[in-house]
Amino acid sequence: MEAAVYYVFLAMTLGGALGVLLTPGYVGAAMSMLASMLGVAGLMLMMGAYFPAFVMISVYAGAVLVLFVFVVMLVGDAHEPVRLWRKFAFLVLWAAAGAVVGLYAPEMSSWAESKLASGVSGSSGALEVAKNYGYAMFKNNMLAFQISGLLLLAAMVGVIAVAKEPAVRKRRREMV
Amino acid sequence: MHCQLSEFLAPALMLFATGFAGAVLKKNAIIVFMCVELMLVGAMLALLSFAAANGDVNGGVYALFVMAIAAAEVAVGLAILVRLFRLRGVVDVRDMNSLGD
Amino acid sequence: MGVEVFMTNILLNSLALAAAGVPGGAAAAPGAVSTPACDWVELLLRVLFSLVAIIVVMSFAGLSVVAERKVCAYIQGRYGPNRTAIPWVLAVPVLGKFLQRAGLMQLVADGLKFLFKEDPLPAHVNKVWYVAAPVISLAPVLVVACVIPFGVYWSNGAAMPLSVANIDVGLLFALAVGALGVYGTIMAAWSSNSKFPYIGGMRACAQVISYELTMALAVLPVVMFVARDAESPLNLFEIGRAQSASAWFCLAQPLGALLFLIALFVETNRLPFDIAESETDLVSGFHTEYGSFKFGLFYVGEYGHMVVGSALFITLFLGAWNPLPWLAWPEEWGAVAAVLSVLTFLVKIAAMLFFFIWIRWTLPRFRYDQAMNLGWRALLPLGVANLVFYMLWLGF
Repeated sequence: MEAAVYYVFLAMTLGGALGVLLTPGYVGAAMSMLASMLGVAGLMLMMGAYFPAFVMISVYAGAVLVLFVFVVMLVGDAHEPVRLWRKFAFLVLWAAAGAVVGLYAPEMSSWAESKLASGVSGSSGALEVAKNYGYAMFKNNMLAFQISGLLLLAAMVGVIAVAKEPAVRKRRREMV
Repeated sequence: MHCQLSEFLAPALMLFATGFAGAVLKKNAIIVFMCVELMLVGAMLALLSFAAANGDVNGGVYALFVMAIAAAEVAVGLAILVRLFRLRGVVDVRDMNSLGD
Repeated sequence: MGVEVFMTNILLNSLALAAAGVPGGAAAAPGAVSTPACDWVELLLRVLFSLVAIIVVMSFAGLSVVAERKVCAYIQGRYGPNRTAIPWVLAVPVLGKFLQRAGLMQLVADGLKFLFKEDPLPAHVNKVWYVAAPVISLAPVLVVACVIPFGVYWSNGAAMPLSVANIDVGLLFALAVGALGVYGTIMAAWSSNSKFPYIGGMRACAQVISYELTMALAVLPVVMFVARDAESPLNLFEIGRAQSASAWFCLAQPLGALLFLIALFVETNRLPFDIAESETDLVSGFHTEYGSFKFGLFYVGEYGHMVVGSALFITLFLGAWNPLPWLAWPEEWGAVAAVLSVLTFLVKIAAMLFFFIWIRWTLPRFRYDQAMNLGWRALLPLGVANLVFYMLWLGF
C-alpha cells in the first residue's frame, strides 16, 4: 500500500517536472509544475515531514504558482512549439538519466548513510512534530531566520519599486 | 515512519537535473523561472530526506528557509519580467541582449 | 457526460482521501490512538468515514442551495420556490404539503435538470482542462472535510475527535489544500479561451494572493493561544478543545475572527467579494462557457466550499462543538454528549450558512480595485497589528 502511494507521488513529481519542459503553453507548464509540487509534498509526507509538506503546498501551490499564472495572464499565453524529434530525443535522454539515477540510488544512498551522524537512516520521529520546527528555528537558527526575514522585506520593497509605474510616466500619460 | 534515503534522493536528483536542463535549454523567461523553482525544490527535497534520515529537524528548518528564498526570488523575478514586458513587449531570453553587443 | 464527470470526481476524491488519510493515520495527535497505516481494514474504514464526511458536506451544500433561494426570496419579500413536487410525496397528508412549501423538492428538480441537460463542449476550448476544471474546483473542498473534527467522544476518559484523519498539522492542511480550489477557477478561466472568463480568472488569482495572507495572519494568534497548553497547536481538535469550558476565540480575539471571516468570504467567492464571477460586468465570470452538469459541479463546489469554510471558522473561532462559551457538554453523559456535540457543530454550520446567504443578499459587491485596496491597505496591516498585539499580550 505504502509502495503504491510512493510510486503515485513519484510519478506526479517527475511527470510534472517533465511537463514543465514539454508543454508548449505557459499555463500548461504552470499546471504541470503544480502536479510536481503536489508530488513533492506527498514525498515529504511519506518521509514523515508533515509541517514542511503542507507549508510547501501552501507556499508553492497557494502563492508562487498563482503568481506565475497571474503574470502569465498579464503577459498573455504564448505557444513555444518544440519540434517533435527534439521532444522525443529529450524524453529518451531523460529516461536514460532516470534509469541511471534509479540504478545507482542504492549505492548513492549507502555512501550517504556512511556519512550520517547516526550512521544509519531510520526513524524520523523528530520531523513529525510541528513544535520541533519552531524550537529548531528560534533556538539554533535564529540568525538565519532573521536574515531570511530581512531578505523577504528587501524583496518586498524591491518588488514594489520595480513593478510600480514611475510617477513621471503616469503624469505624462494622464496629460495625453 | 519508514524512510529509505535512496527513495527520496533519487527523485530529488532527477528534479534538480530536469530543472537545470530546462533553465539551460528553454528560451522563455517565465519557463526558465519555473525551472529554477524546480531546482530549488529538488534541493529542498534532498535536504529534507537527509534530515529525515538523520532524525535531525534542523534540515527541515533549512528547507523552510529555502522556501522563503524561493518565494522572494519568484516575486522579484516576476516583477522584473512584468516591467520588461511593459518596456519591450517580449519575455524571450534571446531578446534580452542589449548589454551584449 | 455529466455522469462521467461525477464518477471521475468520486474516484479522484477517494484517491486523494486515501492519500491524505494514510499518512494521517501515523500522524495522529498525542492522545489519539495511532494505527499502522498498512492495515487494509483500517484503510477501508477510513474510506468509509471519508464517504460519510463527503455525504455530510454534500447534503449541506445541496440544502444550502435551497436555503439560498428561500432566504433570498424572504429578504426580497417573495415566497421563493414552492411549487415543485413529486406526486406521491405530495400525497402524504401534512408532510408532503410542507415539503412542497419549503421548496425541498426543488433541489431534486435542479439536480436532475443539470444532469439531463445537453452537455455542450464549445469548439474553441482546451478540451482536457475544460472538463477537468469543475472537478478540480470541487475536489479540494471534500478533501479538507476529512480533517475537520465534527464532534467529540470519550473513551477511557480521554477525549477523542470524530474526524476522518486527526492529523498533527490539520489547520495547515486545511489552509493549504483549501487554497488549491482556486486552480479550478483558473483552469476554467484559461481553458474557456474567451474574454470574460479570462478577466475573471485574473481577478481570482489576484484576490487569492491578497487575501491568503490575511487569513494566515488572522489564524496565527489562535495557534499561539492554543500553544500555551497543548502539545500540537496546529491540530484542529486541540484548537476545539482549547475552547471547551473557556472563552471562545471569537470573544478573545474579535478582530482576528472578523479578518478570518472576511478572508473566508473571499476564498469562497461569495458576494461582497465575488468579483471573479461578478455577473454585472463579466457575464458570469470564469464559468461563462460552462453549462449543464459541469456548471452544476462549480455551483455545488461553491456551496461545498462555504460548508467547509464555515466548519473551519467554527472550529477556530466559534467554539467548535461546544454549546456556549464557558460551557461544554459534560463528559459523564457519554454517548449522548457525543451526539449532542455533533448536533451542535451541524447547527452552527447551518447558522453560518444562513449568515453567508444573508450577507450575500444584503451587501453590494465590491469593485475589483476596492477589493484589492481593502485587502492590502486595510486588512493586511490590521492582521499584522492583531498578531503583534496578541504576541505582546502573551509575552507579558
